[in-house]
Amino acid sequence: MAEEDYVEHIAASVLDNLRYQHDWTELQLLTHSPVDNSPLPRPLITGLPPRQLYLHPDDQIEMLKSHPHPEDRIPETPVVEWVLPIHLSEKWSLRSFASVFDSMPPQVSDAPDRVRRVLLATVHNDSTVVYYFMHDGIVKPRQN
Amino acid sequence: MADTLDSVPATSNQHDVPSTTVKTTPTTHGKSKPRSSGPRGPPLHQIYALPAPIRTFPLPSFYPSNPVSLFHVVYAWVSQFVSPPPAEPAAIHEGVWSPETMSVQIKDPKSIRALWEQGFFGKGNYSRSEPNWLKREQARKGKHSGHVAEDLTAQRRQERKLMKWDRARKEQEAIERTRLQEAWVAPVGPKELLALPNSEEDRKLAYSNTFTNGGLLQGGESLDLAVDATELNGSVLVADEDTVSTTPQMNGHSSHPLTPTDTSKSRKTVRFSPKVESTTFQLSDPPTSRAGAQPDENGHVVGGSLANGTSPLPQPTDLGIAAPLLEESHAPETTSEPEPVIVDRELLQLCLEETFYLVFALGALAVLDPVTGKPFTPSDLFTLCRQVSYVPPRKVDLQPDDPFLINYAVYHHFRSLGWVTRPGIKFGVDWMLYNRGPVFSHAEFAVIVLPAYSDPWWKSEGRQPPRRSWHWLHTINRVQSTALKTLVLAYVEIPPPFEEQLAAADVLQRYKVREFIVKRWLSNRNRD
Repeated sequence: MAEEDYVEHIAASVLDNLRYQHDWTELQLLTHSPVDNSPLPRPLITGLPPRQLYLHPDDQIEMLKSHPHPEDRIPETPVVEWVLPIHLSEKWSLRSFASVFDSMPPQVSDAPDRVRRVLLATVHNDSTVVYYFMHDGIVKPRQN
Repeated sequence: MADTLDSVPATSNQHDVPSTTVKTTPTTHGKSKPRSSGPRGPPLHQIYALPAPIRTFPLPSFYPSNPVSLFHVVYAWVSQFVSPPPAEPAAIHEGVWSPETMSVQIKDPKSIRALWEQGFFGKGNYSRSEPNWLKREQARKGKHSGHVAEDLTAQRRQERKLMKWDRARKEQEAIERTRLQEAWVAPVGPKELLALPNSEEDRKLAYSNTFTNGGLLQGGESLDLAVDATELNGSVLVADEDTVSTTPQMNGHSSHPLTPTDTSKSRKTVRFSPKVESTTFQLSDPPTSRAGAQPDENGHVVGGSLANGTSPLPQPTDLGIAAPLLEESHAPETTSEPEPVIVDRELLQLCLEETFYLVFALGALAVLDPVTGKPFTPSDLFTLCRQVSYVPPRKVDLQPDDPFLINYAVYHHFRSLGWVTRPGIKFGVDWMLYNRGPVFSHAEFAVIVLPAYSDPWWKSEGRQPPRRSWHWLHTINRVQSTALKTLVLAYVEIPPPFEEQLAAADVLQRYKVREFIVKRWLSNRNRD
């Protein structure tokens, strides 16, 4: 089995999992960059989650300022997320993660000075997918 | 100052009492849900009676003190001799090897239920563990009001999210308040000192004046109060209540200096509460629902104390939190639209170790080759599993320490000791050990698999195990203790290389597993 096949199979199973288990929509499997059509180092998935997954602490403060009353329901607008599917037994280095970040277009939905983020989807053979956010650099931490 | 501090717990306790009575309702609400779904089916221990997909026919035990039991044994033996029970395993389930996912997939719903109920093998590929995607979809479409574990988790997460928003809001308010206080400059110049009030009458005047002036002087005034004698302070408060108790602003002002301590206290309970930890613990485990409503409780407690502190908006906070919560919990039940029949897309997926255990150790599974449609022999499957456990898969140069063999040795070891062993990727370990199964209790142990090269052959090779740092062990152990699991290090003694033709049973005989429990020891907590 060629390695490219292997990588695409992982991406396909993550996409499947996002669609049916986590109810994501507008899912797309990308093997080439949407900006300049250059090949990506790894296939990436873009999709729209059903609810907001990440909120920067600065944005949270802004939201609280614009909704000063506790009765207000704070609106949630999900944004398109980028997903990097990998397998649990793979060995990844910072360099390989950096090359993935370099191949991604800057996030349009966020403030311009924010670093890029990717949702790391780690697949296990028993079909468990574990998702972690990964940022291209240091970000202000969120309170847990 | 001491006076004012004492009054804080008193008032907050008074306000906590109604909030606790409110709290109890969601708790009972959460508990009653699984109970109401319970009587629908048979009890759990009946569904999950068999610990493995095979049945055994043991002879009854013989008690020398009770001669009747001898007849019982003889009867059972004769009856099994005359009409032997059917050969076990009675049903050999069929799974198809899926090269894409490097696993075995089972499509027959009967086999899926059987393998899940008899030993908790496999995982539904769209579910957290038990294959209940169809049930969840149907519940969502309003076909029935059954709840699946994922729903409870989602609800708990929603409650927790609201609690976090509430906490963030309160922290933001506390920061704003501190900013205002810090902006106030102590009166040191002669002009400012002369401008200070001389008598109590003056002070009262200034008090009401500064209040109208706004927050910046407000903070100053409150500090000023604290510097003065406490008796004076108290009398001022009393005077306030006597004369202008009808105006809420006055009340608010008098309680103003108390609020910083109040919020910091509530913030602390949010951060270090064991309840928050138990929510983390719940995230990826089956429902016991005991701690289900706790984050919500927490939110309520916090909401209550906020209402005490900032008087301008006392009651609405509490209601404001409670109302959306109730809405949330009822929303999924009310949305019912008739929809076309949902096709069950879900499969049961078995990882390599589970597959091989079912084929090799129990013989309850046949794995079909997707190309030829014929079942793999156990030895073919053994080689296949070893090949695909490398990344990328390799056809040649299989080693005695390939990932499949190491993991399988540990899996087989714990399974044959009666533990329900399941993959532990969500906890950052290799295997989780359940006492009876995930539906009964949470996993007790988290197993990390480590190869050990202590055989003389490896020693002469100079082979070292993969280097693990102290940080690595420490982080894993801390994660496990947050999730209330005990960390087990399972060392697998790797035998020297063997011939490729060796049968699986002979190969596995050479592996030995040693277990160690790692526990963090704290001198003041582990005193007994």
